[in-house]
Amino acid sequence: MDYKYIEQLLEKYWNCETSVEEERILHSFFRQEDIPAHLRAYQHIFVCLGQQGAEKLDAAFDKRVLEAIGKKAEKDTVQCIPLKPYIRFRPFYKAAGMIGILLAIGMAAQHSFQPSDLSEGTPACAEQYADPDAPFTQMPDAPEQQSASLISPTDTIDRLQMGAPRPSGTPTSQAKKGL
Amino acid sequence: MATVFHNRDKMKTISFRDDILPLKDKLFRLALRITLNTEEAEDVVQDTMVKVWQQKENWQRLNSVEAYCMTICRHLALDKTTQAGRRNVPLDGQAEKPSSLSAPDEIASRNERVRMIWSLMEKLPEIQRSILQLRDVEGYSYQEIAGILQISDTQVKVYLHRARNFIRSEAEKIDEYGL
Repeated sequence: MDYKYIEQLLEKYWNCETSVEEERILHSFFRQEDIPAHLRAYQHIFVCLGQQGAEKLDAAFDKRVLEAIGKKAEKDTVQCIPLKPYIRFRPFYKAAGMIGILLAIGMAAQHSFQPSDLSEGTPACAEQYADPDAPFTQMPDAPEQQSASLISPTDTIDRLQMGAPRPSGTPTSQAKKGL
Repeated sequence: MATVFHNRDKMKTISFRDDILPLKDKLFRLALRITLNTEEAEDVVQDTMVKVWQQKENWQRLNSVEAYCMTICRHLALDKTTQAGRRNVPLDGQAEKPSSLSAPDEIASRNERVRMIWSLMEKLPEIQRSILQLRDVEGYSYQEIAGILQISDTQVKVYLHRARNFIRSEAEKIDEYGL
């Protein structure tokens, strides 16, 4: 009889390369009575392992255990409900929420401690109009008002020569007033 | 063989009587490999059962109740061994001493060489004994053993390789020289 397959399996077994199924084949093989001489040394190992697997506790043990836990086990069961992904990741959602809240509080605190001389609720660049149509009616006059406040270069020279004061409302005089 | 690591997607009701109590023999064998004492192993299994029962509110969070029970059992067995102040590897006189693990009639029925192999296995370090037990007797996969012992798959293979090859070389010596 050819034992090459068993020998190959044994070699894999010593190298821990056998699957559980292949190890079952080895166990079954070595349970036989008729084992070739060169494999008999290993038979004792598998017989010993088989004997170890046969060790059992007696039936009285169950009774002792049930007494030890107060015989509640007959009725008590625990139902394991599979965890859905959103339940499983709930802690992460909570953590993300907490981080968001902390960031919001931090930003609010930072904003409240910053000095600001602007009146609350009024943007720095905003102009206020009582009449909603006022901006549109005033807009056409704006270029004219702007050009009126400007002084032509020849005017300026004449005024300087005459020692006349600069007209109020010019850009230079406004700058001096700190406007 | 082993059927652990239940599918999380299926709703499962875990019953102490139907799912945990039947593990007693596997737990007993593992405890026995660690404590090397029948009475202590039995106490360890009972303590394991009580402890698992007390943790019943955590069952639904477990991937595998079986792996959880095995892990607790091993820890309790190691505690027991430490409390007893014993070395987990008996070194002296083991080859001559009949195993204390089974009934006298079982011992008598074993042949001498199998008994020697049995003693050799008791000489292995605890971790190797436990892995040999979980793989070669109970048929757990490497991943399952790694989960129970809380080590990596690679470490499991390394320890198993050492254990198997120690037993192999000793078995060959016994066969050759009749030691």
